[in-house]
Amino acid sequence: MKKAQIQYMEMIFVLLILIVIIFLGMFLYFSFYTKSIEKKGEELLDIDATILTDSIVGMPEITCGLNCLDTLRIMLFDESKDSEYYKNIFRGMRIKVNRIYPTNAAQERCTTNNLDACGYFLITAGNPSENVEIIQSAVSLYYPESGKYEFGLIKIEVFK
Amino acid sequence: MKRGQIEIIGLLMVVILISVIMLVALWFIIKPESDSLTVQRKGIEGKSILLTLMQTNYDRDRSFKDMIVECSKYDLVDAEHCNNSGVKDEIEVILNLIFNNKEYAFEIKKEVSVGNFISVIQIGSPITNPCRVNNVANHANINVDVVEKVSATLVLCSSTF
Repeated sequence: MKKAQIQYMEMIFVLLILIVIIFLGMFLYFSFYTKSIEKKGEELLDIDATILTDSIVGMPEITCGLNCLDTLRIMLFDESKDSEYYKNIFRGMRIKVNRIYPTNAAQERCTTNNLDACGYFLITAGNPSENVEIIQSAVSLYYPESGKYEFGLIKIEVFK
Repeated sequence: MKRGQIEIIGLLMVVILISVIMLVALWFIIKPESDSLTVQRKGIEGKSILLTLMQTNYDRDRSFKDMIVECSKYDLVDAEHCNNSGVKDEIEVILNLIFNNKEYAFEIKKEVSVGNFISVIQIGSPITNPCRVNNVANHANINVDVVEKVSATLVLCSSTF
């Protein structure tokens, strides 16, 4: 092999190694970039979840104070009275409040007729979707007739 | 400069370049998690659990807050009416229902003198080392009763509950 050929091959090898290094760097950069975007997405979902939970629990139609929902108001709540307004607030999400304590094995939706044996209150049925993340927060459930407070969990199905 | 020296300098530059890339990559990999919004949200969730718990009725006329304040008046870690009967067990029922086998730590403590606390009720993992499986601990703390100097702490170990 001539000297010129050896130098030519040497140059090709150097170029190849440089290209590998550049691609490795780009791969690392984009993998970290994707990871940071995913993390940002999760954080934005968390912000959205916090705002949503607070705004729903604070709705004057159903609230009874800080971190508290009036069960009678939830049962009487009817979003069809101003569907356009509530559509903007709920954005098609399903929102329900589970009764956690006192423990209760019932699974039925609570209405004014079955309050002693029901499992959850439905605020809005929303549009069913597979691609949802359920966010939940603790809330007090107030029963105005007895003046009692129960422990509940508000569950909001947020679209991903 | 001889050709051999130039090639050694070239090799050194490549080695330095690769080392810098590796160091930057390593910095990204081992960089500790910042106090992200998710962690802050967990703190808010913990606080809302504690506030809701205190407001919840223990029996017809008394809330958990009333019971806890009553318990703490005895200055006893194992006050019979707090630990062996209702209050502790009922709080444990609620927390187990919420966390569903996930790690957590809960403590009610009372300040008996400045900086000196006694534990009134303790549930779940030890409060000093709460998260053995998942190392991320989110602490939430509320004052149950300012006059009696009773406070409640809840430590969430998982990202979801």
